[in-house]
Amino acid sequence: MTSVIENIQQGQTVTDEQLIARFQQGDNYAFDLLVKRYKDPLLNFVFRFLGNTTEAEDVVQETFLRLFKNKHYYKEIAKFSTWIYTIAGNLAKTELRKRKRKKFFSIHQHAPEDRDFELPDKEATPDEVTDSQITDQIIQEAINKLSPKFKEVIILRDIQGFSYEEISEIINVPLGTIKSRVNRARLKLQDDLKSLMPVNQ
Amino acid sequence: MISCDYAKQQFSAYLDNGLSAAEQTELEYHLSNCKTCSSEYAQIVFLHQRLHNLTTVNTSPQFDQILRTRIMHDNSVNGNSRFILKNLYLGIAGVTTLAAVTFFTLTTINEPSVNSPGISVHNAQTVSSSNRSLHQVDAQPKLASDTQEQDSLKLPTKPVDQSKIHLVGQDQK
Repeated sequence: MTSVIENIQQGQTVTDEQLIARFQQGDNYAFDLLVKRYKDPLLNFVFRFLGNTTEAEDVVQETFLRLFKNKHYYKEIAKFSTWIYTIAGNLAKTELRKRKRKKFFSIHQHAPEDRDFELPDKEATPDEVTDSQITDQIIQEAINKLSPKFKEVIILRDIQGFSYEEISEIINVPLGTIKSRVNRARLKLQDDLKSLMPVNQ
Repeated sequence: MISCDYAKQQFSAYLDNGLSAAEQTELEYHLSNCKTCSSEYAQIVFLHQRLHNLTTVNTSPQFDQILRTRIMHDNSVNGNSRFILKNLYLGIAGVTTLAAVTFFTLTTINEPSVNSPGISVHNAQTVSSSNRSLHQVDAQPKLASDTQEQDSLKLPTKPVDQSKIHLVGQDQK
């Protein structure tokens, strides 16, 4: 079997499943590549779920730590992407529960996130940048208000672009339920975000 | 024509091309005849596009380094706990062995030895003392006979010849 580095040097695309297989055989370079591939998509998924980049980054770190420790639990019957998103999603839900408990016992409010919308679009004018940031913030607040079961499906479907079948695998819920949840989450967001909707649509 | 509520339930499936041809025709007919539903569906489409184009966030530059440190720390913590556990087992095994040896030694020493008939007078004191300790444990009434036994072992004192005693001052006289 050729090494991951050789495959990359030969210009071949190495699949996630090949990488995890190499990692399971002790090739830590394959782990580095998986981290490189998934750290940003996972961060975006968890960030939209929690609404806080610092906490989201910590959850993503924990996800990769779990992957490193439990690499042998992965079996090739599932896609690697669905497996890693399942781990991250479960950790994010745990974090959300912890936060609820903290809120229950503390009167302090969470500090406002300072890194959420720091990515200006170079082609946009300052006014447009501000508008875009505010819109993003309003949308994020509407997402935060959704219950976890609606939140995770809308993030996976509309933000991350997963298929219904993949979402069903990730959160281990029947396909019909996923479709129903996506529809209800979209209608709920549409109702909450009426102010953002273009007039005469 | 289908109802507005039923049409709303079909919005997502229509957006994701998940309707059958017949369902699709029904919904399209409803949308072309109902301004409210048509507007609602347009908003769903807008929202879908807006969500897809949300600003993305990136991991911090220190992400990889922090992850590496966490993995190394986690390994070392696991390694240390294994080391501590191994030492704990060894310690418990050592203490148990030591306790067993001490118990065995103590019980063997305190065990009463079989008295041989020809005990020399030289060892009489030792035998006597060991017997005494045993008797103290076994039965108190034997103490009287012990005393007699000890007394019988004492040599009879010889009378001193007074004429053979020379005091320091008497020789000079």
